[in-house]
Amino acid sequence: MTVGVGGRHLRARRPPAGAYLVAALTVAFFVLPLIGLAWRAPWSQLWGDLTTRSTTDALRLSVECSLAATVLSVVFGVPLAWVLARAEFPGRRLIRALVLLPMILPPVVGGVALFLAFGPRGLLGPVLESWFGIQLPFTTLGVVIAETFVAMPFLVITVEAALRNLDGRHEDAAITLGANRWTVFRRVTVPLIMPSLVAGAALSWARALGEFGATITFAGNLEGKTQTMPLAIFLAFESNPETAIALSLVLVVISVVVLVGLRDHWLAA
Amino acid sequence: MSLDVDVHLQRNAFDLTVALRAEPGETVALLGPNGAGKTTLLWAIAGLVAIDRGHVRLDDVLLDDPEQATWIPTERRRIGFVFQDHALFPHLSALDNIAFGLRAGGVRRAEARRQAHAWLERMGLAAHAAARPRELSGGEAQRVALARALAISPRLLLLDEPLAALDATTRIGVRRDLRRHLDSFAGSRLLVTHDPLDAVALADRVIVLEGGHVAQTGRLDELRAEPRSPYVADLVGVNLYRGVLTGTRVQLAGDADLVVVNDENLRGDVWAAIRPEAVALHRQPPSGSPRNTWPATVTSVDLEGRRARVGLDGPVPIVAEITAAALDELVLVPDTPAWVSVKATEIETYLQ
Repeated sequence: MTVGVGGRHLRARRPPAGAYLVAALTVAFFVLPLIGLAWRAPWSQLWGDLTTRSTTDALRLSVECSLAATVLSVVFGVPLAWVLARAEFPGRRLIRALVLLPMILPPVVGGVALFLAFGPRGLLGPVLESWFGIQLPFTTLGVVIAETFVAMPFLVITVEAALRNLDGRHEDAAITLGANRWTVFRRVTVPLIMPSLVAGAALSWARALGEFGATITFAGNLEGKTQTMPLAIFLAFESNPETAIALSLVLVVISVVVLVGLRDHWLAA
Repeated sequence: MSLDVDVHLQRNAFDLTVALRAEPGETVALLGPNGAGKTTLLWAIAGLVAIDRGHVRLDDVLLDDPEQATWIPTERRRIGFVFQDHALFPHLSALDNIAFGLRAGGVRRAEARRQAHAWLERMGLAAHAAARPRELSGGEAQRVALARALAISPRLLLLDEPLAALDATTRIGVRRDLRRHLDSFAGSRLLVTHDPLDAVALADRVIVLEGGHVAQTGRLDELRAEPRSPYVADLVGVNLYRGVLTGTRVQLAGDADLVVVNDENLRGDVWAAIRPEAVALHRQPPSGSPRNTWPATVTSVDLEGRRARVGLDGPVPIVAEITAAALDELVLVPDTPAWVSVKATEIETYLQ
């Protein structure tokens, strides 16, 4: 489709002046908070704020738990997306809706629901406790579970769309060439959906990194154990705003690095 | 390596019922309109869809027979499949596309690449080993797809519209190459197409499918001599009518009739076929011998080189093929009246 002629957009497709004005205001809306962070950042004592024990603990927990949640999302989300995209069974649409619900569910509600399922008096909690000795609420593992709960739907929805739009003839071709189902998946399906898989994993990871509501409800706010960066920032903001700003800057930098890295490699913009 | 197929399968309202055999070294073309079941038949043979009833047998090995609960999955059938639009793996080079089947079959990487390279050389594509499919021309992609299918030493080769993705100019050259490569393959070849020219150039025998059933089989010249359905008649460019023969008169639908020669004393439901070259056109009512003469109106004129095909509406709708010179002389354009005449000896009649 021709979008422009000689690099200039056709007149009818050019946005009107008013749209430019609104667009500029919107950009300001996104940029101003970042400027605010940089403006009030305690640059001179930044290193000191970031190297306290509680800060490094929070940063380590955030990175570890969000990466663990991303791995769990991929390991469990890809087969689920595969089934949702390719299998026909009654109730498929209902299951799909249920799986995607955490995307729009308020995270605090998710935390309460997780507590009622895996808490000490929840549906499955006592079984996990007595059979496997696994305790989820108020543990680091609980943080990972809470983050996975809110993050995985992003991976599922992205990968499912990719599988649905995939030209199935490539998989047909692979199977006529003697490849078994597993080889077809590994050597044809996954490479073809790789851009979506990476994008979905990145979305899940970003969601897990920023997770607050479900985490604090389900896993609590225990320093060095369940206190991730967002929790630490929220608490510091009350007592010690400078530290909160310093921690926020770290998350901004991480997010920007990931966004730029993804754009160059996978998300052709 | 002969193929023996008796397929019955039902998908929604579509019913495919086809029996066919193909011998080693033979190329059979499956011709038919869209939705005739050509591709579904290939899928059933390859095992991409299961049949409801019947059997698929290759070299006396039963691949699929629901009644005997026999089912060999696609990946163990060793049937080469050339897909419509090639379906090359976009993320792999031409070389790795060809090596894919060998690797899946357990051949070591170095050996698979060596064999794939030999295929590229045979196909005249050695310079494109590292090229991704999107960097190949239509003809090159087609050869890679063929090499990929042949590299697994298949026992049978299935080709689904192998030339459909190509533009008209490259088509002729690719068709010639394809013929050469098909001839070098020892097993039988089954080729789906909707173009009779492909069938003439590539196939020894034609099976015409219509609505999931075999409408007619034979060599293309046999089909041209005695088409047995309007689709086949259209395919080979012959005028075909359904009628009832009594003596030397074929009663057609709509009160028209044709006078024919009936040396064999046939009677009953017949087909009457008239080659377009045998139809004469005139501006004035012709005098003399032709017994079949009627007034008509020109509906279409298609010039192909030095021949012209003229479509006419009248008591018997017909297509005439005349020389371009005759067209000029008669001054025929759409909506002009003309007289049609056909000699009784030029009408082929045969029982339905």
